[in-house]
Amino acid sequence: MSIAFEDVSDTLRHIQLSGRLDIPGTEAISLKFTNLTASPSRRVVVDLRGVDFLASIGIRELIANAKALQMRGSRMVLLVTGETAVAKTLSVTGIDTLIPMFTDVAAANQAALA
Amino acid sequence: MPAEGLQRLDLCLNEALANVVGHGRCDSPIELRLESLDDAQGPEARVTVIDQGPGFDATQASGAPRPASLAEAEPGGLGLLMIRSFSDTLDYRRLDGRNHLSFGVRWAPAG
Repeated sequence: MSIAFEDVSDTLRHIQLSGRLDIPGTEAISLKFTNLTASPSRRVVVDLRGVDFLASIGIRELIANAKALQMRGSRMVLLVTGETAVAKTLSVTGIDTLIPMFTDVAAANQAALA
Repeated sequence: MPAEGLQRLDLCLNEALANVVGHGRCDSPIELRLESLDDAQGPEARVTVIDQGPGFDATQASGAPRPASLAEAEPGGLGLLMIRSFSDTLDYRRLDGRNHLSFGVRWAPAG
């Protein structure tokens, strides 16, 4: 499991996750992910296109940090590849109705900054 | 077995084991059985997770209600929802003081 980020602008950060977001994978990125989403000035696009396995513990990690962002008046959106297991997992659990999900980078950026 | 089915089985197994561990039912050995079946409905790969903890029927337990907003979202209950959503067959039995949770994935036969 790997995590990287890019500050696209002063107000937008992309966080790229890759690998398996299962129990060990989520534990591996949890602290850094929380730190990266804690920026008070930047909205966050979480890029899950490199994630090939998303377990419930990984979803809980996304929810916890999205909630923390929202409580600070900020926002998280998700970027996925359509018709994949990850997109389906987010859909069947209803997470896509809580954290906006996009397959297009420009649309994700626009929604994050809206 | 198609990769898509294998991925669904992988997800179900991950959530079933996380459930056993998360509810403290892992003090004794956990037994896993993998069966390859083929009947009139086509081929099926079925995994059975057997643990010795208190009875827990994952096929009947209610998962967490879907939250209406992010602010209301609470952790928990997602694993059961995922097992139900991604398995094609699901069965629970309490046998000899042990939980037997079986979940299977079917796929279209080749040719």
